[in-house]
Amino acid sequence: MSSASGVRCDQGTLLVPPSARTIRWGSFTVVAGVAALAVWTGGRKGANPASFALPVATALLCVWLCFLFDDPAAETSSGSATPLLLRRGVRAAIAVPAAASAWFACTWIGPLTGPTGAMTISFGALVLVALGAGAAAVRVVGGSRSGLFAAAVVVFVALVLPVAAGRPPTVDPSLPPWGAPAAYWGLVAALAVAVLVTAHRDPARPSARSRARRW
Amino acid sequence: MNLATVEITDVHKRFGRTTALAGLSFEAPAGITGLLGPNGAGKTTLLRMAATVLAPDAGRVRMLGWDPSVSGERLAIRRRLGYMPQEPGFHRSFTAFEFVDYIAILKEMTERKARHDEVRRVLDLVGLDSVKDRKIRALSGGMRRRVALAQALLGDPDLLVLDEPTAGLDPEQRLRFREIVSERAADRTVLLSTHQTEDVAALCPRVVVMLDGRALFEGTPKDLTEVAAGRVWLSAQRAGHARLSWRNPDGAHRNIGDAPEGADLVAPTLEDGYLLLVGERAFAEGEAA
Amino acid sequence: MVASLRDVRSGARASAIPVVPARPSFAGISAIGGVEARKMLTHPVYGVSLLFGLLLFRGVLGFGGTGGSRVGLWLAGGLLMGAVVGTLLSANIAALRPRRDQMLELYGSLPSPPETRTAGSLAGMVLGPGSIAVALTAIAWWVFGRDPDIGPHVDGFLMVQFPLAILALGTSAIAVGRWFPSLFGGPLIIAAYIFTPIGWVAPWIMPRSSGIAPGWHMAYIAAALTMWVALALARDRRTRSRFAIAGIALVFGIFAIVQQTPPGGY
Repeated sequence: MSSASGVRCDQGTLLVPPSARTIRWGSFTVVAGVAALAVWTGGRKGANPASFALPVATALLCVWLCFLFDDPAAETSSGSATPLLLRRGVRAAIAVPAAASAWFACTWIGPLTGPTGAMTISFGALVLVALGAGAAAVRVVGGSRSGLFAAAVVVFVALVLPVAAGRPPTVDPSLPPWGAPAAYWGLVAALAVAVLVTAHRDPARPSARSRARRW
Repeated sequence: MNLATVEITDVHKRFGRTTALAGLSFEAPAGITGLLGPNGAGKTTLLRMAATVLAPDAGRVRMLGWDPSVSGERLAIRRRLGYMPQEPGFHRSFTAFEFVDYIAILKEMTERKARHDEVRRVLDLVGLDSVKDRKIRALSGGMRRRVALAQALLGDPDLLVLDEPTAGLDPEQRLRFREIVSERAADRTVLLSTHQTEDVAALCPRVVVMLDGRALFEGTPKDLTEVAAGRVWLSAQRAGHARLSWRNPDGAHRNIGDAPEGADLVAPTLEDGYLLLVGERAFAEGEAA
Repeated sequence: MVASLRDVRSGARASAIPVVPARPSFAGISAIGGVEARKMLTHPVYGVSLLFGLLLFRGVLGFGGTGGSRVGLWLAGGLLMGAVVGTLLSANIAALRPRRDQMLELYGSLPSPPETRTAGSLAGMVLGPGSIAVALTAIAWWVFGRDPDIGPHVDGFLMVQFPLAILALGTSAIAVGRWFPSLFGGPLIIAAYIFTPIGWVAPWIMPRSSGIAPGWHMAYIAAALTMWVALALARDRRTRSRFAIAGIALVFGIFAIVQQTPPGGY
C-alpha cells in the first residue's frame, strides 16, 4: 500500500482530466481574446500599451481566475478525505498556466517585446491576489457572489489603488518610477498568500475563538 | 447495549444572528438513527458537522470514537464516511459514471480497475446502471439524487450521513433506498434526516426529534408514536379544539389534540406523535407570545 | 357523422384555454421595474462601483490644489464615473439573474409573456440607476459649471449626454446579459468599450467645442438605445421585426456617427 504522500500524488494526477473539464474554458477564450484586443488597441498610433492597456488585460485575466474556486460540486465533495488544498491546487495548476500563457502572449503584441521582470512580478502577485480573494470569497461570501467579490478585490488592487494613489498601474520601467516595484508587489503577493493559506483552513477545524473557549 | 458511535454533546452553532444549534446533545449507536424536525430545526447543520464539513462554535462532537476537530482523527472519519448533502451539486457536463468516478478519486481510490468496478457497483445499487453514460444535466431530479446517493455509498463506508435522501424519489425508489440502507445498517452507523415519517417508521430503530437547535425527543419510533396515544380521534366534522385536523379521503376528519369524552379514538401513527410533539411546543410559544 | 365531428371541433374550440395576450401590460412592467430598480441600486456591485469611481477619479484629477471646488469636482466626477460602471454591471447582473437562479422554468409557466421581465429590467434601470444618473448629472452640471477650466465647455448638450450614455450602456448590458449569460459579460463590455474599435456601439460623451454635430450625436444615442432595446427583446421572441429594428438602428447609428464627426476629426 502506498504511503499517504504517494496516494496524494496519484490523486493529483488522476484529478487533472476531470478538474480540467470543470474549468470555464469558454469564458477564458473570450477573456483572453478581449485582453489581446485591448493590448493591440492600446498600442495603436504609437501609444505604449504597457501604461494602461496591459494592466487592464492583466486584470481581466485575473478576474477570470477569481471564479476558479466556484465549484458547483463543492458540497458533494466536501466530506472526502482529499484535502481542499489538493483539490483546488489541481485546478489552479491547470488554470494559472493557461492565464499566464495568455498574458505572456499579450506582452508580445504591438510595440511590446515581451515581459520585463517587474511586469512578471506584478502579474504573479495579481494571480495570487485573484486566487486568495477567490478562496476567501467562497468561504466568507459563498454562493454566486463569491466570484464578483473576488473580482472587485482584483480590480481594486490592480487598477483602482494605483490610480487613486496617483501612480501608474504598471511597472514598466519606461514609465515614471514606481518606487520599488519588486518590494511593492512582493508585499502584495505575501499578503495574498497569507489570505490563500488562511482561506484553505479546514472548515471542520474549530476557529480560534472556539479553541480559546475550550481552554 | 450498543455503544454510541455518534456523540453530540452540548453543541452550539450560530450563523451571524441566526442560532442553528443551541446546546444539542444526543447519542446514536450503530444502526440507523432518524432525525426529524421542522425546517430550521438545525438538522442540516448537525449533519454537516457529522460529515466533518463544519465545526461547532462550542460543544463536542465524536464520530466513530474520533474527534473531528483533531486533524488526524478528522481524516480517519472522512476515510470511513459517506455523505449525501441536502442540495448536492454536480458538474453537469459529466456523465453519472464520470461524476461518481471523480468522487471515487477524491475518496482515495486510485487503482483504476478497482475504482471503476466500485463505481459500477454503486450505480447499479441505486438503479442507474442503464443511464450511467448519460450526462447529469440530462438526468431527472430523482436520478440526480440517486447519483448523490451512489457517491455516498462508494467504498462501503462505516458512517453514512444522509440529508433528506428520499426527497424527489418515486415510491419504488424509496423502497429500494430502504433496502439499500437497511442492508448496510447492521454493523454501520447511518444518520438520516428526513421529512418523511414513513421512512423513519420503516427504517429507524432510533429517532431524534429536533426543534430550534435542540433535541426535543430521543427514543424509539414506538415511544414517539406513544406521545399521541389517546389523542387521535375521528369525527364527522372538524373538531374545534383539535390542535390539528384534516379531512381524510373517506370524508371523516382526523383530529390530533386533547380528545373529548367518548371520542372515536384511533391508533396513532409516528407522524401523529411527531406533529403533536413539535406542534405543542410551537402552540405553547404562540400562546405565550 | 360530419355534423358530430363539427360539433366536436366547435366544442373543443369553445372550451379551449384562452390565448394569452402577446403584449406585456404596463402595470406588470412598472411593477417589475420597481423591484428591479431596487435590486440594481442595492446590489453591492453598484455601491462598490461608485466607491471605485471616486478613487479612480482622484487619481485622474491629480493631487494639485485644494479647496471646495476641487473636492466638488472629485465627488461629482467620481460618482458619475462610478455610476456609469455601476449601472452597466448591476444591469448586466439583473439580466443574468433568472438564468443563474434557475427561474426560467417557473417563469415559462406564468401567463405574462417573457417580454414583461425584459421590459421590467429596462424600466428598472431607468427608474433606479437612471434616476441616480439624472440626479448626479444635475449636481455635476452645477459643480462643473463653476470650474474655470471645465466651465466654458459645460452646457445642456454636454450634460444631457451623461444620463443618456449611462442608460445606453445599461441597456447594452441587459441585452448582452440576455444573449450571453455569463458574469464575464459586464467586465468584457467595459473592456471592449474602452479598448476595442467596437466602443462606438455605446455612446461616448463629447462637448460641443469638439466640433461634434449635436443633432446627429443625439440621433446616434437614440439609435444605440433603440438597437440595444430591440436586441434585448429579440432574445425573448426572435421575430423578424425586432431584428429588423435592431439592424435599421445599427445602420442609422453608423450613419449618424459619420454625420456627427466634424470634417477634420475631433
